[in-house]
Amino acid sequence: MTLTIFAAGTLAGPFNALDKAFSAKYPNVTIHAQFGGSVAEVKQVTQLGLQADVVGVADYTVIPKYMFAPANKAWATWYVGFASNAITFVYTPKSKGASTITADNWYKVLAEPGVQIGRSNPDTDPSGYQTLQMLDLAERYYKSPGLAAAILKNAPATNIRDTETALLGTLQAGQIDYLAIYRSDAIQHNLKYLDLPTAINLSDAAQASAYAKATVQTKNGALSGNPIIYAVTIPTNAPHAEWAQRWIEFVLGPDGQKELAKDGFGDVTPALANQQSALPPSLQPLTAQWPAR
Amino acid sequence: MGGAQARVAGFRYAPRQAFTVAMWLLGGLLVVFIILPMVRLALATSADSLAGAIRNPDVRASIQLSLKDALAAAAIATLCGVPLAWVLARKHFPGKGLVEGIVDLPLAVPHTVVGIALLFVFGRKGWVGAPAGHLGISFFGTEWGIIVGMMFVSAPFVVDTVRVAIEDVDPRLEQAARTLGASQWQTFRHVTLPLSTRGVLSGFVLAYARAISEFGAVVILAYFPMTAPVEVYDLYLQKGLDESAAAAVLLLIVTLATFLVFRSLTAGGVGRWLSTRT
Repeated sequence: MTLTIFAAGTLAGPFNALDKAFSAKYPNVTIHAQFGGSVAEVKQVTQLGLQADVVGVADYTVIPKYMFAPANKAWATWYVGFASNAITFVYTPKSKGASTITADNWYKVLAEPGVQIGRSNPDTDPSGYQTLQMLDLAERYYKSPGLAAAILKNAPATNIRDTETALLGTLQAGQIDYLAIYRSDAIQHNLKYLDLPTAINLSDAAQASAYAKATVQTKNGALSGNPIIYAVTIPTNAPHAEWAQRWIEFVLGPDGQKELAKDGFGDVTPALANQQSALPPSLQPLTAQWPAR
Repeated sequence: MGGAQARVAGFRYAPRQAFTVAMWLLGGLLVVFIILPMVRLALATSADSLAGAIRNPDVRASIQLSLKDALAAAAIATLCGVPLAWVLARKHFPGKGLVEGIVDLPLAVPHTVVGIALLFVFGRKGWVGAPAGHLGISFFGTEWGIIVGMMFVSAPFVVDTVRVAIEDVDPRLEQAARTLGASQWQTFRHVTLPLSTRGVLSGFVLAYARAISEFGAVVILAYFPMTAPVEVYDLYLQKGLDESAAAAVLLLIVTLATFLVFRSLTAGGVGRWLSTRT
């Protein structure tokens, strides 16, 4: 039996480890996991018609946005938030300003002339617009008008890619000095990173209403901030829905949470369900209702 | 004996037909294999969505950029590729096998790896990128970067095609020209080049086509400005299959049109220049 998983690129580390552990527990199960941009992975199901048993995304809002339609034949009807992440900047010892940068003065160092900052495309990638939202929050948090514009001046279109992990090699080659990325990637790649305050780094589900005040413009309209909560669902056309449930139980359980913490993800226990009653019965006791905003 | 001969003749006749049919069938299968996805792509595109792609200024700009930079990449690849092809076809030197292997290396290296490797050399701290930076030339997120990525993956097509064409030129013709007093350049210009014109032209067109289609190497050096393949991928992520398929069909149509333009151009001016012998 082959369980097919489509998931956000940031989940590759923990999911590959968990897949191994799961296959060891259930030797009859082979797991084929495929990783990429969250929206690209979801569209494999909704547009290309590929069948997946589990879909995991880096931004929980992607699932209702793309999969809760069409009304009579939705691709998914629920999602469960199971881990959080934080937006940060990674750098190397060779980066301009690396010797003086701290979590307190970072926004001044990043705005210095000649610094090159990489980021992902805000029109297509969650971390792209989450970076912009974080800078917007930082501007008010540090009471420093013009902070976002000054930093973005060092992050022009030449330094943008469809996903920020595509720029890791670019950072190591010294083409850019700083890269906006998730904390989990920083930890898994052993890179230096900034431990930014939770008031701006989008990592805390409880601060959702404060994050919502950060609004940025993209080609897809204005997007307001959400906490970075990773979510999974089982598509309605999943070939092995029962095994998919067991796999999600495994991820929500102690083994899964331990692996996620090791890879730099934030704890979301109990996991949060958008609508508990829509979940498969076996998953309901493992979750709590998502807090209303 | 006569009966046996007739039988042999009959035996030979039938397989000859069978042979032709088999060749047609297997060859036709390949044509169908290539054309089917293209037809399906075109069918997935309505006139409306194609018109939408034509109206989209981002799509138009990306196709223009791809055509322009592919032309530049193919031109530079041909300028250096023809001399290299001549060296490989006509000269024997130690390490020739190694050079031949190096020329074909771009065909085997994964293109994302090519992008990273090029970045190491052409990036702002790279061997070429750092000195070029002092002259104000950056290869990161610029057309220079796009051209470099395209050239790397398309150069082997020029060298391999032209080399075969030059090898097909009888060396005795070149020797005759030399004994009649022609210089090496005159011999190349008036004997070798005219006789391998078709190879040079098809090498150029192959390199051009390969350059237009390149995604993996180019996207690492330059995501913005967006070439057509990057724009198609971006549309797929942003909008969906319809919009990206329409842009892809538009790119195919424009590319086919430029092939035809090359054909007629080369049949005229350039081809005549290359193939004049006097």
